[in-house]
Amino acid sequence: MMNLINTLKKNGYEVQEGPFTKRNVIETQKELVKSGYPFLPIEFLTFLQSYNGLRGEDSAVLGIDPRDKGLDIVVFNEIHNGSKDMVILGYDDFCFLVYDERQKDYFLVDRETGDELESFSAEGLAEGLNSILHY
Amino acid sequence: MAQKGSKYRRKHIIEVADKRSEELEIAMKPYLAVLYHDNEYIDDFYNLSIEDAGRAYEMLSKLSNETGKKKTKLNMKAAEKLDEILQAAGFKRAQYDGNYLHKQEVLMIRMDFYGTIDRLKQGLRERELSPYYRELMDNPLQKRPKTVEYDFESSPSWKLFSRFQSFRHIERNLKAYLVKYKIDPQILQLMTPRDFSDLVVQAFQKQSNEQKITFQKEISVRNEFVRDLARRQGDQMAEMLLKQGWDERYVYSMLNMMKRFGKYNSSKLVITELRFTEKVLADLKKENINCKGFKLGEKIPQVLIDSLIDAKKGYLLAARDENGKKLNGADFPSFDVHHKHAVTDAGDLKSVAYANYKKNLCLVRADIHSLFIHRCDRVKQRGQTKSYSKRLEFVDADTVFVIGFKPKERMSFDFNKAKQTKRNKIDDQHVVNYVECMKQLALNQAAYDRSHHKDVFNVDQEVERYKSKNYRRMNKQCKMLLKKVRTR
Repeated sequence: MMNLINTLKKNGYEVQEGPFTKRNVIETQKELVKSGYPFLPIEFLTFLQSYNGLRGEDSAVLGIDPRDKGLDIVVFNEIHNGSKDMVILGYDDFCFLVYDERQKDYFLVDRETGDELESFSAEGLAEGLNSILHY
Repeated sequence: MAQKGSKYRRKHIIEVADKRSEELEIAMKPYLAVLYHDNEYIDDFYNLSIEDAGRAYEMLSKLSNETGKKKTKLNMKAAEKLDEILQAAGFKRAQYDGNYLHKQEVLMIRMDFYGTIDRLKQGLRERELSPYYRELMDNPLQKRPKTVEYDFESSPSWKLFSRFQSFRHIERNLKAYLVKYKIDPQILQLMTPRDFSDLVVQAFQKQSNEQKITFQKEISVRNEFVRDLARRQGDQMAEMLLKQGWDERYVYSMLNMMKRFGKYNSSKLVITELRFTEKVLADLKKENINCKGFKLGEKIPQVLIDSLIDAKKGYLLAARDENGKKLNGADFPSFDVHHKHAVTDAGDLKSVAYANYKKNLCLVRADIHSLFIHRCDRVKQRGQTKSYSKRLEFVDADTVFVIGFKPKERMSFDFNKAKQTKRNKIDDQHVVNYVECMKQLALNQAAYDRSHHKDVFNVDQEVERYKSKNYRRMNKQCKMLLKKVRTR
């Protein structure tokens, strides 16, 4: 994960000005669970400490109450998530990056057909984010 | 006028109450205006925020697609309204035959578009790469083969890649890599598309820990589209954005990045001042940059802006608000490149390479892209796939830039048709069918197995072996049982 964060810094992405609070995290987790989605994985929350809502070229990583309101993870999932086992963490023009709670894995899912395009292991969040984020 | 207490009076009272509650609801949820109002709902739609416009679209879409025994008046009215609203916003509902691509083909279009390939994680190599590729890459030949021995045209998987110009351009690099490492030329006939992705990674990586490998030598297909559009239509784009009320410093900083690199995103954009301010002059002085010739309020030369950005010192020119705080890209609209023809449905096109052609791309405000055009994209339960039917297309096929729903908020442009036709002709020569290529690959791998005396799965032999094994076991069990009975 640190590799990815360093690569992003090298590519001109400044780290978060004011990171979210614990209260924001709890509120967001509550909202997600209330809508039937799983908890956010801890590794993802670690990434959000540095980049809470991040845009690449045609791509983005969602965040917890981010400054860019278009990247709010709760709102985005309410619109685009029809599954209760998965939570969408980011997207590009081709696919969504989702976390499957049952399998504890990360996937790239075709945004139009819902087909699985790529899969990453439980430790594969950095690969997933790297794949989705075009910088 | 209806008399007090009459049924007409009661009806009137109910109607007035209904109307009031509707207006109250509309005040709370503005998107309902489009549903409740029978006249002027297009104006109501134009006045909505992008988020509410998406909600209105989704509700109308759901109502018009309701499946029941009979379509109600409400369903038909919703369908009618939906079509009119979409038409006013420059869209129409797309109809597709469902000629879906295989996921490997979708990934190829994605690689061609962004010009990058992701490295496979070490632990996944065994699962994702074919045993033939791994074996031949790990066991180079003693003698270096000649370049001519590597016949890429004979490779079924490469034929799939070579449909794209960007991959055809790197064939020579891949060949050089195989020659350099003395890899058996037979490998080409046995490699899967996934193996080729890995070969590109091996041939183009600059460092062994690089995660995203750029293989396009110049600018990527995506960035070329944005760059060319900004260079040709930048003035009109700026005019449209300024009319919408966006800060000119943001507009010109964004367009400058687009014109130079074809890249832009709000998360890393340095928004610069257009004219010298006291703060800018002081910051330049602090950095020992000679600013004797510069005066307060004068236009900052573009060369200075570009050179400071290139030297990663763009912050010296950072645009600030009235409180002296730097402007942040996250507070301004971001833009996405949208595929006008659904990538998954590129099977409809003569060549899948067409999906990434400039005429099939459009630069759209990110919120319109996500909350409106792709409103109906859904992640579904696993296993529930191939079911999408809702997608929007532009009425005007030449639409290239969209920042709103009103006609003046979208722009059409026709990229050079002559150049396009020439490219079409070349790409048309490389059209192949995915299934046919995969069949050929399976035949090649089977032939390789036979020639290398590997165990080949033969159903008859396997059944015979199983039967005889099972027979022996059953026989043994019978004998044991008989022995037990006898001893008793």
